[in-house]
Amino acid sequence: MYRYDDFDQTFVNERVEQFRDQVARRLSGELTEDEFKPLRLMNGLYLQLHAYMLRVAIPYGTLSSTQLRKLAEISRKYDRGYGHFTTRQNLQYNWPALKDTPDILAELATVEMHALQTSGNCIRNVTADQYAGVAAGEVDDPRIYAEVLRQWSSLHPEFSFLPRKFKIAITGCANDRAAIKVHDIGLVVVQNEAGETGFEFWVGGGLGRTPVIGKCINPFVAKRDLLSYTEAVLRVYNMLGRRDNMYKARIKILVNETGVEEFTRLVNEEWAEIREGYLELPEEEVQRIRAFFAPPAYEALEADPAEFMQKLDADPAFADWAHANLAPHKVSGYAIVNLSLKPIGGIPGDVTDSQMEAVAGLADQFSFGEIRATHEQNLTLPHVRQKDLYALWEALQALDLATPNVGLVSDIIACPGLDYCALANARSIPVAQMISDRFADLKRQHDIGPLKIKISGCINACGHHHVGHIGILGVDKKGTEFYQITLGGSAEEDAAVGQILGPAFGYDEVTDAVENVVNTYLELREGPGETFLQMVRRTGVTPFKEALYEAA
Amino acid sequence: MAKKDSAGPQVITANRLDDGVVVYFATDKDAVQWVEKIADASILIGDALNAALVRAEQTVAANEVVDVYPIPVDEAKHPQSRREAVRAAGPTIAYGAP
Amino acid sequence: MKLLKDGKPVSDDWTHLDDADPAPAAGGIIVSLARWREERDALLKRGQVGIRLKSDEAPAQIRDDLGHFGVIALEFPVYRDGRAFSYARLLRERFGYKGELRAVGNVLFDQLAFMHRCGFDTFEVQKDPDADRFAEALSTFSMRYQRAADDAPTALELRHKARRNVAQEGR
Repeated sequence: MYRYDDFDQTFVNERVEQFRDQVARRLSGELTEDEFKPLRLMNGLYLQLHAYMLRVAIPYGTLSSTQLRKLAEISRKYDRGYGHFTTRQNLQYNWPALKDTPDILAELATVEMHALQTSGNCIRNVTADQYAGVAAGEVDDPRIYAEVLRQWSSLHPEFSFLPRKFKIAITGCANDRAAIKVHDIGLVVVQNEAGETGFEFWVGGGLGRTPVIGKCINPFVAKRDLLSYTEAVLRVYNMLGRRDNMYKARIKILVNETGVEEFTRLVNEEWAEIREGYLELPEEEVQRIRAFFAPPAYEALEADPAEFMQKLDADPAFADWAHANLAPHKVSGYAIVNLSLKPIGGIPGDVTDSQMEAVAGLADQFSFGEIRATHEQNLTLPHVRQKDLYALWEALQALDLATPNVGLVSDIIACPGLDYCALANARSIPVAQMISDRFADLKRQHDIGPLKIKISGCINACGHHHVGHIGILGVDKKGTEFYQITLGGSAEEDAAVGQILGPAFGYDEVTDAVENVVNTYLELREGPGETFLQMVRRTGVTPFKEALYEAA
Repeated sequence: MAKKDSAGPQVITANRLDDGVVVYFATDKDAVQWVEKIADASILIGDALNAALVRAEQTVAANEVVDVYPIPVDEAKHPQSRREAVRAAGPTIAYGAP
Repeated sequence: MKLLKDGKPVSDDWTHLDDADPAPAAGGIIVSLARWREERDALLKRGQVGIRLKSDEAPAQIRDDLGHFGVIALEFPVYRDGRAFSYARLLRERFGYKGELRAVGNVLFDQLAFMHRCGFDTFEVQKDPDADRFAEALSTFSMRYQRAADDAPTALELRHKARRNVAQEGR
């Protein structure tokens, strides 16, 4: 894990004091709400439907047990005893008081955390593959470069008042778990033919009102050029991005209106000016940061030890969990364990203070004290010995964190929706709960296989509905909630925007509609080997549409 | 800014500045008062609403609350919009520890 | 309106001239880009001229004329419009402009440090407390993560300097 040095710690401490001063000036009336709003947003503080909401950055989704304990403590001391993991690997508190936020930030700073740039029209918290450093086939650990970008973007004097927010995601694998193609900049760590490490640069992806899959504007930017190339993209965007209409202000619109070729030319022209000079990323710094992400002291273990294999045979419930919630680790005898924050009928991404503390303890016991947050609103213990899996599973069951549904129909992404969000038009969470309850039968879920449902409560698409295999968008029609269904989206390496199925469904109808879609798949698939997404791509939406609308 | 164009009964709402809590305006108390329960709010209409909005806006200047606006309600003080109903009653889901 | 320079309020030797108003016989005037283009020869003859660029007027357009201006004022029409941060860096770092670079428009206290780092050296601020706390705004952060027009060393550079010193002592 990255650890702050004196520079990092001083910076975050000074930022806390700056915000303390800003809050004091607001409470005294020296700052009006209009003046204060951009300042609080740059520190992740929103005013939502019921109260303030503080969004804490979890850079590239990596947490230590110490940090998770602090998050639990803050939730108990300053909030209502729970937190909510978001689709950008952050944690949100839903009920903090403005007057407490400087103290909350000061507490976060003691464990090397902050809420910098989790909102506002600036470069947001950089996200990464939750399996970074442990996935087989990874070219290089993306967290090294995410940390480089985190530091470079922190209070960047030129890029803190961009036309709109700016999100960067990075993966070190061809298999994309970080949704890089729906980010303003998406990076894939790659090697060129000479064996040098660099980045595929995808620009202009995004969801919201205008969903766009990013375009690759450079297939190989060398490691040393990471900052100069990123700065070139940001400068072109800052100067030319639209500012007349906030719905057209994201970089995806600039790329589309300018044309990819011309945009790329502008970036290259700018890059040529700044490529040589102080923006060059020194290998020394890469090595300094790399050392923090050195592998923990793994033991030499045999793969698939007998005690693990026996439990798989003996305990079908454990086998179900192992099938859905484990991922292969690059080191023999270890596994990556996903903790589902999607209990049947639960609130996607919510965790209580006691769950957070218990997970911190399990991370210390089984995973070198390390935890990851995923963009699909789950948690991951990245380094667990296979022989410990059964004991870990038993402990997770007691915490309601062992639902064997990762990647299945009840592993639903949902935004907070109208239950919390001031922008939402409809509720998301209870829709996720109804669908989860409907598919509660785990045998049925495993039979259905990989299926990602993503729900947003408004067009801003925080629930990534456009890229759900089944996407659900809540809309308001004359005071009543309706839900529009899309099929065939994907946020992974085969990224695609889903296609709208037809007229929207009422709150009480949407679960039936989803079940109808799933049943159509089960009926028409070419055997269990064909996933839901594969079938939609094979057949298009027509058979689903017919089954759904013509039956009615 | 506050909208004053609806003809029916309304209550005035805002968020308290220092803790963000949703509050409603009560005019029948001794002093100007923001209350946490919509049941304790005053139903206002016409000139009384406009006069109350002026007083309510003054508390924005006094750094008590932010974002003052009136919302249409029925006679039982139930907000007519779903958004305001959720805001008045809290999330429609059970959250936190069971 | 106050003008801040070197951490304190100073008197303003320049007048913002509306496009419709005639230029006074003497004294510094700041004109729009449109006026500069229309009356370039007359303004050059008169001297004591500065230019004011709107946020959609990139400074590349005046690159060849930089030597003629006593001041360049870049406009922030609203605090959200951050184009002039880039313009300021280009003027200082790429075009080599050494004269007065002034932030005008919606210039907020909490943006002064960013502006200063991007190369602005004078600021037309709207509120008095801003002026009084100017020095404070610039000293909030004792270190930085990026180079900009201020040329101060970054955390990265200081880190590696420290490391090299340690390495040398060790020899």
